[in-house]
Amino acid sequence: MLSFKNPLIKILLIGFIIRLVVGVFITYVIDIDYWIQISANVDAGMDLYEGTGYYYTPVWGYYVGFMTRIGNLFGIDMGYIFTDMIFSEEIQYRIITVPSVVYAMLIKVPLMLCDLVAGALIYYLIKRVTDNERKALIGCAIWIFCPLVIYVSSVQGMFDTIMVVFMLISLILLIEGKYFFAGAALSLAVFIKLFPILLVPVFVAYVLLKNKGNNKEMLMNLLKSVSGFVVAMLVVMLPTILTDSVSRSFSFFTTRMDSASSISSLADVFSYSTMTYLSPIIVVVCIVLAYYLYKSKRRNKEAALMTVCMFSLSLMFVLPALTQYYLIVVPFLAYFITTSESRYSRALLIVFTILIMLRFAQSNSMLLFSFFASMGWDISNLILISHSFEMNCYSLVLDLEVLFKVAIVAILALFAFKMNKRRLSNAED
Amino acid sequence: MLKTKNIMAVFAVFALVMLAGEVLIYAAPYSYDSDVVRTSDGLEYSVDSPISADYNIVALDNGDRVRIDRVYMYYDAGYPSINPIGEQGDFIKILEDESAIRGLSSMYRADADGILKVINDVSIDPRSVAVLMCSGSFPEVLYDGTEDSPILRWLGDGGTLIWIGGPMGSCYSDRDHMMEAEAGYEELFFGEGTGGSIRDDSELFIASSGQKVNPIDEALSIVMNDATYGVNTSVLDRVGLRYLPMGYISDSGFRCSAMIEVPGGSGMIMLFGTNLNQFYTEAVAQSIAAGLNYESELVGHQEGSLGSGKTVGDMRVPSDTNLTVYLYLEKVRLIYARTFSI
Repeated sequence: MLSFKNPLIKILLIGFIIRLVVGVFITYVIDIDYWIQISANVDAGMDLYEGTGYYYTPVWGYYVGFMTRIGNLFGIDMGYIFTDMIFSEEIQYRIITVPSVVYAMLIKVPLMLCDLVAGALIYYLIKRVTDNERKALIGCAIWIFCPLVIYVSSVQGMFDTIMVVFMLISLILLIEGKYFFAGAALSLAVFIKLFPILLVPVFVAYVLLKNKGNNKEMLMNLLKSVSGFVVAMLVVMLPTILTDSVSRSFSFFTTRMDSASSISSLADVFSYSTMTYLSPIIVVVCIVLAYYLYKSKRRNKEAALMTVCMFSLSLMFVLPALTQYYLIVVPFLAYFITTSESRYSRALLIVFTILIMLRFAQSNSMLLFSFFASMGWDISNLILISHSFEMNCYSLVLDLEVLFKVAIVAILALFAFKMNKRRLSNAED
Repeated sequence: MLKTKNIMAVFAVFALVMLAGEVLIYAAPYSYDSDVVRTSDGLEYSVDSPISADYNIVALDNGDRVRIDRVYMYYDAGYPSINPIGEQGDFIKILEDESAIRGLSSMYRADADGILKVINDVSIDPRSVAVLMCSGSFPEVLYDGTEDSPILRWLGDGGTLIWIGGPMGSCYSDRDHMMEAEAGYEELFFGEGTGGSIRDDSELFIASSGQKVNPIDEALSIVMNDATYGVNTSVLDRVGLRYLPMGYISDSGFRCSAMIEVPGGSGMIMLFGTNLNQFYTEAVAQSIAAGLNYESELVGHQEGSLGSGKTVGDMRVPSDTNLTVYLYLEKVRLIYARTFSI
């Protein structure tokens, strides 16, 4: 029974209230401007890739399309265009589209709800793996109150949290032996933002591991997973196949690859140019990690699965990562903090929080554009503050971000080393 | 509390919402309809919209010029250009999208030889065709800095050149090298005494006087403040060329954009003196769709909000002129537009 005395419900409720308050007052306008563009394309009767502004695989576009149609039922205003600063020679972006608070919340509230669902799934997963209610609650609370998680859904309006929901559903269904649906859920996670594709070898290894000794069962379950993946993929991608826009649906990824030219300076090492060189290595390491899982002799196969999932996903952080990308490993950090390796996990969470603080500094007054504009207040001074910051401190903040991102990779490497040592000694289970 | 069946239920809910979005976008997209007819004392319009939106009805007297019904967009990686070929491709792609929303379907990409073929084809009425250049420089087969250039001859015959993203006429290239035209190249386009009328300094130059004399800009929601490659309209005034000023003007007299008559013929240059910024695709598409030219005059403008369903209204306009009525709907961004000649 759902009851407000239930600690899980309390955690989720408090988390939701925090998000609502944060979400109303502060909005990172840059990403939501793109969602306005998708909404406008939908309003214009175009498909996701006919118009300009959508560069991801289609799943998130479908959600925005759905929310746009819901918003139209209530005739909500999407936002405002500010031309007040058009005569200022100092301002780089002279025309500014600012989402209305109502539109921003139309996008953000479903994402906030996704955060809550993900929190509940983390609770379920940790309880399933550890059989410990307290650990499960702590794990859930870590996710729900993590500043990174709150920022991504409630301030930025980015959709990584939906990817996390599908990934967790997939993981749970895999553990529960619902292979077809596990494959389908993983497919949806992948077609939201591609990163969970790193889990494919891990999932295959887990199915093989779980059915070791029974080749027929092993093959059947593998087939079920693959069928689930393919069916979901076809459902998601069919319209893009029929409208010949498959290549455009991957442009989020391919344009970054295209921008890769050569490494000519130290800064380039942390730029997208590294993708070209590192991507094949990452794939190989993922397969090696999956092989480790398959060969694992740990009695608690789920614990081994969680470890390998975390490190497979962490591999993408050697590539240039935007702050929201780190969301994908937070559920695993929550798991490790409550189970075994709390030291490294805590360190990572602290670094993630610092990154969010840097994000706040970077965005500064821009975060208030949406609220001020919706109240009918003049945002000219906010624009000037934002611009002044951009001119004076932006590169410094970016450099600091790079430092912390390097720190993340270093902590992860130490973490992996420690876990590997533990695996070899086979001490924990 | 949570069981596997709950997890499956959560999965089902998320998947169903996604599917609903997919179906709504691809199987049941919004469609619009509109019509404008002349009445004894003006015009009557009707708009059938599935959603509430802001609307604008703009009535223009576009004079005697033939409306452009085809646009050939120059895109050729075989010639060096001022603007990178990738940026040109992005600009053209967005312009195609913007044009599609406005019901402009006859937009074609063409390389230098393709454009040359079009402008040499005597069976094509030059007055109904526009060539769009966003490369920042001409390929030598079209323009070589002399008055014998094919594009200049074609402009003299009534063609329309839409130019954006560079100092028009300043540079041209063969397949290997970029070359500069001799100073005073503007005279090739605008006639004697117009040398120096186009800015050729590539540093961003914002028209900041705030003076905006043309009400058509306002009616069409066209906003331009980048006059980096703008035109000094006082020079055009001095030589008596007709033009429609667009966008803002700088204190030094450079206008962001203008639709300029070609001297000694019926051709036109739609000069967008901005950098090649995707933001200006809207201004270019809006200008083409509304059929703007140097004779255009605003004769009526009505704006407001409409709800979903059919909306009918009327507007008083002069009864003795041929009108172009441009109707568009906005929800922050333009979502529908159509042009009617009545």
